Amino acid sequence: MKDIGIISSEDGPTSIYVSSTDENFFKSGGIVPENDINLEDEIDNITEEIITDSSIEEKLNNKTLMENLDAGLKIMGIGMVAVFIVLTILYLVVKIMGQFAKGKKDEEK
Amino acid sequence: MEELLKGFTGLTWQTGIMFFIGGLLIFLAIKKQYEPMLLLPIGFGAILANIPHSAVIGTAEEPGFLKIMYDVGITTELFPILIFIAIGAMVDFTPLLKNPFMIFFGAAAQMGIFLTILLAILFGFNIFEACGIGIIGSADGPTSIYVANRLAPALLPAITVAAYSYMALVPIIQPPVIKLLTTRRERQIKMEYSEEPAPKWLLIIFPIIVTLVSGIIAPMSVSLVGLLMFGNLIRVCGVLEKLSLAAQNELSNLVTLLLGITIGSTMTADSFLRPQTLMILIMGLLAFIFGTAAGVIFGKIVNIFAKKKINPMIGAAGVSAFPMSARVVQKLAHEEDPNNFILMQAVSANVSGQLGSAIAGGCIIAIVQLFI
Repeated sequence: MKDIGIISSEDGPTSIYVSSTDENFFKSGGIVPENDINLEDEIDNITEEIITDSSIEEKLNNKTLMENLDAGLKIMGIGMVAVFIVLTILYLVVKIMGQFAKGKKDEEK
Repeated sequence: MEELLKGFTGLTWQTGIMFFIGGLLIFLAIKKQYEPMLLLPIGFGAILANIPHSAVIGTAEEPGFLKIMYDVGITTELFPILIFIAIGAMVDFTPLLKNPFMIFFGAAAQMGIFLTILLAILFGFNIFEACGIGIIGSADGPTSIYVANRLAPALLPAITVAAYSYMALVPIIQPPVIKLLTTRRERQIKMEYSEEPAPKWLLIIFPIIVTLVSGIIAPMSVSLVGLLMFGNLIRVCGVLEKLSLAAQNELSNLVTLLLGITIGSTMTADSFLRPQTLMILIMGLLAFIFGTAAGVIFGKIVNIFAKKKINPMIGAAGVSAFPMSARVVQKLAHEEDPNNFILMQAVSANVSGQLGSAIAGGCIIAIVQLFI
């Protein structure tokens, strides 16, 4: 209850900030209902995430320079082809639509 | 007493350097006007984060305001995606629809990303980190944040600072590269442009088709391209003017403000003052140079086959730094010939660069998973 004094600051946001650091405030307010959290599941999830993340990191860091370069070249090849394919399709679509718009305009004339 | 003095006792020379870096970013934002909307909040965020026992960062048990913002806005990728809606609402694709061939310049300039990935690998970064660094070459802040956050979250602060700093330095970085790769004669090439407006239905259907095509071919790019196109659809549909203006102004300003200060808060001394940061800043500069060079060289190659010659400088505008790159190209064309106006063609290449970088970002995230 020590945080009630902050009301005298007559400053809404400061009062909320200071009083929210009081553990009792949260407990009494019931902002995080305990029943909603299954701690065991939460811990399992976090552990799983950590294991997955660290194993990926380990795999990545264990690769040799040549393996990484090989992967980099493949990413460059596939990436540039993919970007060009998407934009070529868009070019063709825009071109066709442009022709259609032109034809429509000529027809109106 | 100890509690009151912990701010002083926690000060180290590293925090002093970070205060200086934060101050430098604020100075560059205010005095030099280098991307002030981003560099100022980033600089101030860096200062806030490096105050010993800073309450804005908090602890693992009691996260502070900026840590919460980071978890909500950056880890979830919400902020960069919201920025994409705002950018979409600001971009006018009309010049691109009138010069559809310019779309290829937006693809060619993405070469800078991939060359930088190779360079980063040679510097000893793993493949995920290399892709995170390479994306600086897209010259696109939100895409850089989006990709780096997914692939190299530990390097995110340095990558973001490099991306935004070099975007601000486009007028200084690009001209020497363009001049080095082109002759005076090439820079004087004039290009035709018709002032006829694009039909409204074409403007409306374009963002929908872009979303479908890029989404089906590269589903990972949907978050970026799809939201960019959503913002654009709001702009061109003609019935959502209020939403369009809100996206262009309120949404853009608010998210930029929060994005900047949140990114700045990740610049803690222990994560930023590392040799990798310097290497990332160097590679970021090279990424911009590679992207510019790739676009210009592509323009020169096109000219070998094209009947109507293209001013190869247009290729430099294929990077995503909008609209600075287009302005730089026009300025150089004007310097060589005061009657040469290629701004609209440069803008076409520039907006396709935005599309290209978003697609490239999505593709990289998808492809790199194959190499774990």
